[in-house]
Amino acid sequence: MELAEQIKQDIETAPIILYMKGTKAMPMCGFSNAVVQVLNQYGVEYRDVDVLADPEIRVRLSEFSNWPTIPQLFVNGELIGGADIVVELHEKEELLPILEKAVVSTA
Amino acid sequence: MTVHDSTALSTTARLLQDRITTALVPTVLEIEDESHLHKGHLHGAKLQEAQGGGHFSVTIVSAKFEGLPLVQRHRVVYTAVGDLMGGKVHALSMKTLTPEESEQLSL
Repeated sequence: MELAEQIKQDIETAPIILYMKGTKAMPMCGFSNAVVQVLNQYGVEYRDVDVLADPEIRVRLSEFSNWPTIPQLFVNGELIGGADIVVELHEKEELLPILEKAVVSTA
Repeated sequence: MTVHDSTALSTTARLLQDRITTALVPTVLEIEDESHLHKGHLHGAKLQEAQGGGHFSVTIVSAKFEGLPLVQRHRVVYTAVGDLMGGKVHALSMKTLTPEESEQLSL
């Protein structure tokens, strides 16, 4: 499968997927780490994709999402945002309802 | 309009200022060059050497954000900033507020 096709499929099928630098076990960038730390607080299951594994992932991802930076968090196929937005939604207590939607849809 | 920077605005910060001002007509625009905070940052350091991409943090208060969710607000800013992203700007942290939200915060 072409990489662009793979990315589209992953985003559309994974309830929660995070494109990041590094892995959730070892984030390689402060912005990616910020999102991992927030998600960890909710204890939700999510898929992580390391964009550093292949430079083309980043290019194809940004083409698909029309979003220039990493990390990018998707829930139910929808872009929630990058680190600023995830942290801001978390602080406003608006993130949990979004994550719960994903958990419910897979239950 | 206020622009905060420890020294004179860098060329890149001024470009950011121009583009954001033109697109969003903000009532408040604060730009901080945070590149110095990321000097020990692996990819940051590499990018700085390769293309001088800096880390910036902006706070924008604009009526144009009214009715837009955070993702859309950030998209509008990324569009305004255009090709600076990935070039002169490596990372852009954003706080995007409507005039009304800004008033509530400064109570």
